[in-house]
Amino acid sequence: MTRVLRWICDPDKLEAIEGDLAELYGNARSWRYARDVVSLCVRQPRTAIRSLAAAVVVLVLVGPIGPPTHYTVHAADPAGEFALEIHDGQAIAATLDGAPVPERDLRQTGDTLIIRGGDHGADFYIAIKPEGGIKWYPRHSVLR
Amino acid sequence: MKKRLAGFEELVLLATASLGEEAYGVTVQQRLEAETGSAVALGAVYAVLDRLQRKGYVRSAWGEATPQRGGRRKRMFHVTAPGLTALRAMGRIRSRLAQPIPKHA
Repeated sequence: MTRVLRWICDPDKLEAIEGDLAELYGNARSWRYARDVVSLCVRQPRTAIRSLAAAVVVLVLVGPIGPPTHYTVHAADPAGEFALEIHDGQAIAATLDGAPVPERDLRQTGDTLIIRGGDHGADFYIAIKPEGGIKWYPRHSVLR
Repeated sequence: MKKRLAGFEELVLLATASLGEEAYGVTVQQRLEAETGSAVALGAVYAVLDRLQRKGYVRSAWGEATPQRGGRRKRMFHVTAPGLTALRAMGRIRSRLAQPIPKHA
C-alpha cells in the first residue's frame, strides 16, 4: 500500500506523510492504517492523472480497445469479390461474388481458413489475423 | 468575494490554532478525534490543510525529524492572520445564531 502511496503522492509532501504514518503505526498494520493510506491516496491531486493513466493501461490490456470480436471483411482480388463474417477469430459465414458459401465448404484450422472450391474450383486459403483482418494471396482472374 | 470556511475546514483550522507550535498531521488528527469522538482519516486532514493553505489561512514549514518517524521531518502548520480573522468571523456568526430562541406564550 505504501508503494501505491509513494507513486501517487507529491514528492514534496511524501516525507511528512510517511513520517506521520510511521509515528502513528510503526510497523503495525491495521484497518486504521489501511484507512489512512487509502484516504491519503484518494485525496492526492496527482490521483486523477495517475488513475486515468492506469485506466488507459487496463483498457488497452483487457478492454474494448483490444481486437474486435465480431466483424465482417469485404475484399476483392482479380477473381472477384468476397466477404467473410468473423466472430472471435472464427469465420462463421462467407460469400463469393455475393453468393453465400455453404457452411460445409468453410474449413478453419487455427487462423487458416479454407473455402473449398473458392479459387476456380481449387481451395482458397485465407489467413485470419489474431489482431483482426485477413491476409491472402490474390486469386487470378478467369478468362471468359 | 469572501472565502468561506466549510464545516470541516473550520474544525481543522480550530484544531491547528489550538495546537499552536505543535500542529502537524498526526496531532491535528488526534485533536479532532478526541474532540469530536469520531474517527478522522489522515487523508481528510491533509486534504483540508492543503486547501486551507491555498486559501492563505495556514502556512506550512518543515519541522523536526525524529527516530519514531523513521528520520522523516514533520510538516508543521501555523494559522495565518487571515486564518485567525476567518475563525473569528465564523465564531461571531455562530454566537449570533446560538442566541436563545425566544419563548412563545
